[in-house]
Amino acid sequence: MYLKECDLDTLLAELEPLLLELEEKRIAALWPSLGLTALFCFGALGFILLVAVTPAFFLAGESPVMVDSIGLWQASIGVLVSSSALFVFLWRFFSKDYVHVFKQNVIQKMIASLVDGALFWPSGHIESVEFEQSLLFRDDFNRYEGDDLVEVMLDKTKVRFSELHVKKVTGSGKNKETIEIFDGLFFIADFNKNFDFQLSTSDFHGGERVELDNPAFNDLFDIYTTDTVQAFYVLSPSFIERLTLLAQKADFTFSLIQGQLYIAISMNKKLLEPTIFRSLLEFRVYEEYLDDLLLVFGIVEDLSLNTRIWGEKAS
Amino acid sequence: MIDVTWIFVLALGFLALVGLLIYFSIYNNLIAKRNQVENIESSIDVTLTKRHDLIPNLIGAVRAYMQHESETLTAIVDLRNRAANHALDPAERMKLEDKLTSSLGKIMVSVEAYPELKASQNFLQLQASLNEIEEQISAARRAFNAAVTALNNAIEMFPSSLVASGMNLERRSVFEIASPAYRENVNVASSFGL
Repeated sequence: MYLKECDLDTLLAELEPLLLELEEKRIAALWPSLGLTALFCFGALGFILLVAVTPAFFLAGESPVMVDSIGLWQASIGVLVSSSALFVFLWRFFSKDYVHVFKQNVIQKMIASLVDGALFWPSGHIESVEFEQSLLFRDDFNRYEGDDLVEVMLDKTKVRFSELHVKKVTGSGKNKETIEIFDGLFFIADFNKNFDFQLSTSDFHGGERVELDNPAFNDLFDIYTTDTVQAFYVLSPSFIERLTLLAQKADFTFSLIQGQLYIAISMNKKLLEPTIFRSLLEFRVYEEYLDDLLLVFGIVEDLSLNTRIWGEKAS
Repeated sequence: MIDVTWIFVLALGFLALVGLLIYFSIYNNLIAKRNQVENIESSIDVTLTKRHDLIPNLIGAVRAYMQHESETLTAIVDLRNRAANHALDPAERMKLEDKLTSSLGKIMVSVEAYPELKASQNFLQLQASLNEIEEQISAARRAFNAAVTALNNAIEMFPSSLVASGMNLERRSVFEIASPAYRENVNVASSFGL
């Protein structure tokens, strides 16, 4: 087993002086962000109210001019949305140092406490070429961002993963439309069998739908492949069973292309990011980081990718 | 004024055309399913031939070490030679292939008792190749079963059953898939009779 036993208490005790320092940085970044956002928000709401009430005040006594209540609500919602965007911008500006130090020290050490020899690039990500090669997403995209790239050899299996945010933005102004292509964790691992065909859970050019011999698996995934027999070869009964079990832990799609296994795990939260509103001194915060890391590093074990008894990949 | 008879004839013609289109669609679908079964059947043949090609090398590599297993090794060579005879009845041939799978499985489990053999790089490579071929045979058989099940369903289900009976299509039998004992983790205890 490549995963080490992580003693979170000992690790946090070691990191305590740094965490105290980082907690100060978090508060120092949070208050100006919140303060300036509140100033903008209340200022803008006050202005809207003033503009709305003034005509009614001057025209009192004559036919009362009622404020367009729908317009007022729309403007207020606009202010709240702008305030959220402003907060995100200010937080990013003020917390640069905090985020950098946190990832380079705390997350780096948490990864090292779980696996040996891992490389971590907080601002790196899986390249868009590989994202496209995976055949997991058919739609075009024009916004491609990501962070927290990790590369590690887990026993016999080389693994890389990073967070990705892929979108397609069309139009501008009021016609602006954002389509989310993928938001989550993108994982690439060497597969333990030799193959030279393509298989994906997403329909692709040249791929034909194939039904596997496991009804539970067929309910979870649609499989498209360029070679039916090879699809049955890579998706052995035990591997299918393992994928079905993994689907209970995470919402994912997968593909097998040129000896590589691609897994796209959808997530509704940012991974490995330092807290904004919660204290960095809470133990639960680190349990969550640990759970996320164990889920990703555990994929190799969950799918038994280190079992290499077939052909050239055997060792 | 349009004659009612003409309306009736046109409606009948339209229905006949729709019926014909449905018939051809079902017919083509059944042909595709039958061809899929035949394609996969030929893949099984290809993988079995690969195994036949590998066996002489494998036996050559282990014979010097496994002197106590000489009877089993001779039986494997005999089974391999008989199974490689393409003139044989397919059902008979599959029986021989199953016996071959079982005998190879026994030999691979017995390997645990020969540490020198287990250390041989040549043998390890041949063993890995055999594992891969066995996995491919199993995959081809599973794919065959899935294709046969789809064909059999089409042959038995209405309305495709009507078209299938006109085409003289018959149900095919599926393989019983046995998992070779040595493909996954070998149980060392069982090889010593514990």
